[in-house]
Amino acid sequence: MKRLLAFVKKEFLHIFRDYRTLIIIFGLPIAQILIFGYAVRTDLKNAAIAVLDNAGDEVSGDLIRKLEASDFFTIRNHLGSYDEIDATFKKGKIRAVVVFPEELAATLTREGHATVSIITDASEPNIASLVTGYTSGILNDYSASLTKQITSAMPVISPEVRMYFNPNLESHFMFVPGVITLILLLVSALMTSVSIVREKEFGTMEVLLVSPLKPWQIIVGKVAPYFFLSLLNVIVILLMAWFVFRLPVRGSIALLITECMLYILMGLSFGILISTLVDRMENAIIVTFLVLLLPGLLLSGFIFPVENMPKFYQYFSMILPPKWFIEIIRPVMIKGAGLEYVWKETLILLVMTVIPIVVSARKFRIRLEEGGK
Amino acid sequence: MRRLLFLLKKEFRQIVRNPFMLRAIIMIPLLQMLILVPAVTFEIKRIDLAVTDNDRSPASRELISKLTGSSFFRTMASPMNISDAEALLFSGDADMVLVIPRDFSEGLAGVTKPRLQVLVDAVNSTQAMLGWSYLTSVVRDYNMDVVMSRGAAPSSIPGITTSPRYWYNPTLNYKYFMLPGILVILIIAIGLMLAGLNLVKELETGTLEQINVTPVRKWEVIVSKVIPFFILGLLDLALGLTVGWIAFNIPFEGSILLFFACSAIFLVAVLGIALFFSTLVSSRQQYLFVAFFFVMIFILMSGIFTPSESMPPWAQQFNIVNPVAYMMRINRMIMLKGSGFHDIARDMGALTILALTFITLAIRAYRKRT
Repeated sequence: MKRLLAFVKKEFLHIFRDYRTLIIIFGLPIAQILIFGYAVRTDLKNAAIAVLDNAGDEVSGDLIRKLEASDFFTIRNHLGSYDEIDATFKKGKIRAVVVFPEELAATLTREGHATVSIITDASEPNIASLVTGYTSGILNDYSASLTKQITSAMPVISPEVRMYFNPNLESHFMFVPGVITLILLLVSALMTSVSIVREKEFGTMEVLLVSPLKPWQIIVGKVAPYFFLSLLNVIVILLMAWFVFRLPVRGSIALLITECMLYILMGLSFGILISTLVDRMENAIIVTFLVLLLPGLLLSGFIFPVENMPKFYQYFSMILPPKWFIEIIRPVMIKGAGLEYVWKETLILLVMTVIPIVVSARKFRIRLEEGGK
Repeated sequence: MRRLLFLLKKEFRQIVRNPFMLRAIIMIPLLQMLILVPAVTFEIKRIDLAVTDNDRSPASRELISKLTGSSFFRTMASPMNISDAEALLFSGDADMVLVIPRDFSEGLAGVTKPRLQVLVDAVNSTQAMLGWSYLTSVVRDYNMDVVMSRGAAPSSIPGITTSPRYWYNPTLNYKYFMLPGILVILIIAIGLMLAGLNLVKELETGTLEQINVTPVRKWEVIVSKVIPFFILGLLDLALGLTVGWIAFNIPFEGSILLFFACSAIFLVAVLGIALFFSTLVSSRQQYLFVAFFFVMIFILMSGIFTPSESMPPWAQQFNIVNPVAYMMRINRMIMLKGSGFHDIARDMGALTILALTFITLAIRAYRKRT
């Protein structure tokens, strides 16, 4: 036990001496929280649009003023003809062109309805559908104001909405749990695998193995510092989320921390597994990136909701631990859910923690025999 | 020159001899294209809707059938009261709950004002907004039906209908949007990860010192380290593009030559960054973290997933020095819109200036260090 403690202390010293890595380990979550909180937004503001006003009457004038007045759009351009649209889009700044037909006001009074085209640059479909949605919303409101004057005797249904958990519709409610998920994986799995493989590559692992330390003690000593660093990171992120965005932890903090610890253990055990499979640092890095981090970032529901993916990828995401972890901490943090809502996911995560440990324990022994030959 | 050729030969041999490196070079584009491109989507296909019908009238049933008729909403459980409904939101079983109050049909008959209550799980704000606006449009349609069934002639209701047209991607296919972006990430993966690690490795294992005491000049070392990955990066880009073309039938409207020219400039910028980072660190572990830190920021701010104009001014100013932001725009413009040289000249110029700046910085930092 004393030996183990001394070894753990040595590992801690190794890490704390490497101040550059430490800065990054704590700088990364802080930068990410700030980016996701302030810079990366999924909503749309100030989209540059152009209008092609073939009508030039009071209705099109009204509508253009309404578009101008909304926060969503800035009218950058007044086009002269339909043929200019393609060239405008190819320059890449304008997201949409609203085309008003000739004699809009006259058609509206004569026939009762008219059509306005919204042409969007759909090379970015997300923005195209948002722009279309907002524009038709503005046009519909205008329409409704006309309707009201005539059919005041008719009933108008008014739906009221209550946005639960996130009344101001902030996108960082979705992102903060994701940042925790990614950072913990990075520190626990990546750092562990790299630091163990480093010993192998430099041959110092052999030195450790002939020391009186037992193999499991070496591994525990190697991973213990990363466990604490990860946990410290969780606390930093939660404090940031609270002080910067007033994003509270609605559920039990004890439950949240316990789940985070379980997830860190999962990351460590994957890190250990990877370190038994490869012999070189850059290979460990590439494997961790391709197998854990990239899918963890993109297929886990961090940015892109899993339920929108094609079926195959939904099934595939089930073998990704980050997916389950996000499904645990999002409700716990944002909705205040208790263990009774997330016990299934917790169990799955537990199994995913145990399997790599068992596999690597067997692998590790085999390696020793080979080393003895 | 002959020395340089020998060095290049050595570097290529080392790469080819490392079976893992070879596999990575082939697997990275394959995995990125086949796994990431189809999965990464903001398109919201379905919203789980629960309905509490307290009215139980023909009118409320008609409204519900209008909602279930749309493929967007999947109606399920019908909670008895508000607290049941809230529990459904809590557990995530429903994304939205529509509550039709007892006096809904009376309201339609003109006794009171017809109201509806909607509870939305807003953790995912985009989905919440979209679901809500979709629901209101169905309700508006239903409202129109009611008004018209009371004898109002359609033409007496003035209305402006909108006809949306989606250019360059009429089906709003997200793959067309993601693929050009993933190709940018592919170049970053090769240039920053593989090339950078290769550089730092010589440093960490001490072989760089051995090279430094040979007659080989420093610039020759740099060039021999960078050129193989420059070539590999462009080859990988071609591979990625081919996979994307075969698997997703991605359109390519613009000039392939222009596309590769821009990617080559971008790759130079990335290699410059890799070289610069390599002078800041002393181990591959450190390199990895420094690289990951900045790449993460570069990629997320570039507008790969989210509209860049929604960002605050300081973030948009940051993108002036962000090569990824230029490349992301250029790729999408060339591939999907067929933009020509004149359209992207400004972005291309800025990218070239950035590439030259990074390379110069990197070489100066490298000289100072060794």
